[in-house]
Amino acid sequence: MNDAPIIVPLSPDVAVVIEQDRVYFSRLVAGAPVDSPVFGTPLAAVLLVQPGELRKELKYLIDQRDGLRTKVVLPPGPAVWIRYNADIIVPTPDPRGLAAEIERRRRRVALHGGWAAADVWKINPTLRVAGPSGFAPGGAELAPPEPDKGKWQAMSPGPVGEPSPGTPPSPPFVPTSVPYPETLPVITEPLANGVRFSVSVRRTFLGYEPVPPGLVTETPVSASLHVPLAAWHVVRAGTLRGGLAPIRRCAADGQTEIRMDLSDGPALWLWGPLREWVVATPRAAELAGEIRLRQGVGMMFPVSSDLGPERRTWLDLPTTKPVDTPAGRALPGVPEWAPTSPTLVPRECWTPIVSAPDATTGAAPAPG
Amino acid sequence: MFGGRRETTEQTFDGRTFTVHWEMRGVGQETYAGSRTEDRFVWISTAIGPCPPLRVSVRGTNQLDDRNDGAVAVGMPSFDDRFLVFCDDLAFVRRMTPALTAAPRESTGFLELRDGWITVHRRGLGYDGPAANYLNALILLLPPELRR
Repeated sequence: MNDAPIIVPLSPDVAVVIEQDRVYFSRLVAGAPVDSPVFGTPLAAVLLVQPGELRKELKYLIDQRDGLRTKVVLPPGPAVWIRYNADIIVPTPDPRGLAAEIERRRRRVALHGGWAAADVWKINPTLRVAGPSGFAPGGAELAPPEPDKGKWQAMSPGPVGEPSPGTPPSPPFVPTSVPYPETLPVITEPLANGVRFSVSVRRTFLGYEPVPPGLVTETPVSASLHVPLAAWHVVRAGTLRGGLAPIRRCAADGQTEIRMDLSDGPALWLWGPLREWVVATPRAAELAGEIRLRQGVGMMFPVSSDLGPERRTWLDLPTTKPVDTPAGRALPGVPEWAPTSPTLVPRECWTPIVSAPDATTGAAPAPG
Repeated sequence: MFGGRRETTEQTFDGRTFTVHWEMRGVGQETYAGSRTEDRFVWISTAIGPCPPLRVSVRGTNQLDDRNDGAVAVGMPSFDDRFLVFCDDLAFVRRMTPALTAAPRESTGFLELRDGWITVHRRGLGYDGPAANYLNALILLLPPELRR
């Protein structure tokens, strides 16, 4: 079983995306989801996942809270009903299979945690119940018998598979030597399909535009995918095989399509609470070291604004916050709910390159 | 009434001469009845070597504001979360970092270096002596060209 994001188009330009630990709505451009700052709904807050059938056409308003303010019309037919404090209805030809898959991810969240899961359980502890084999998702009794709108006919649920494993806990990582940020150049690596992968002191970029060097305030380019370095928990090199198709994404400007090339060979895996990238490049191991080094630099010399890449990330995603250890300020360890291999590719297609000193945190030895 | 509202004196603490300037300022809201609370604002300063202007302020808790954008945050765990250093000369900030992050960090706020003077600003009664002692201890940690 693989936890790849499930992208279900609701209309030509809106899709619902079901990731390992959250559900959100996304704009679609020619079938590629558009990069957006939307957080979505954590699966930990979901009360009920039920396969069933829509008996009548449903006019469905997607709220601004979900990132989009649009209306879609769902046709009658088989669908999955996801209930949190509102309804998400996902039309699908195989409702039992999809509901079982979402339920499997919910169980993984209950077992290992997930994005915003700790906050959800703090607010409502009944959403997770202790069972004989660890925690299980709860809260089904809080859900109404049927969606607020629409004619709904429930089906019996299908068999739920085994949740995918969580990462063993890893200690925080104290960088040995941290250079000053202005001494580090922007690294640009042209990929096989023409996309450039760039690493600056503050962010990683994937796009066609060159990244200008900058020190204190550096604005991200809207025609690229960009993620602050502080938001990456896992930076790891590995090997891809199996001849996978590229992953299509669209930059925030809604025009530039960016393909993550998954050709065979060494690749860099970046995983954070909200984003995941797999970048096939022959310099994967070296780039992992460079990114890890720059994460230490950003931690020690953050932009002092609360809107800057580091502080904003630490405020929004508390697991990325640096921790103070007796040995000094440290990058946080990988959370337990991190996947053990990229969710974007099937598990058998990925082999990690184990670097000797720091295989657990995925930190390659920092150069210099 | 106005005669006693501001005063500049020279005082000696541990063999160093400090200029203590204080004034009474109205604080808080002016009410309908016209009464207002007053507080004593005090600046304790002493001469050091020539230095570029540098100001340390206490970081506010507003998380949606980037007015602090131009400030330099130094990479000291318990320092850069509470204080901001405003200074154009990054190299000077880095030379000052050991001193600014040294032991009594509660005192670091509202420190200013300018034109060969180091000044600490305090509010209220009874902080003159402790502030002067803080400066006396801080001057020992400054880069050697600033010590006098």
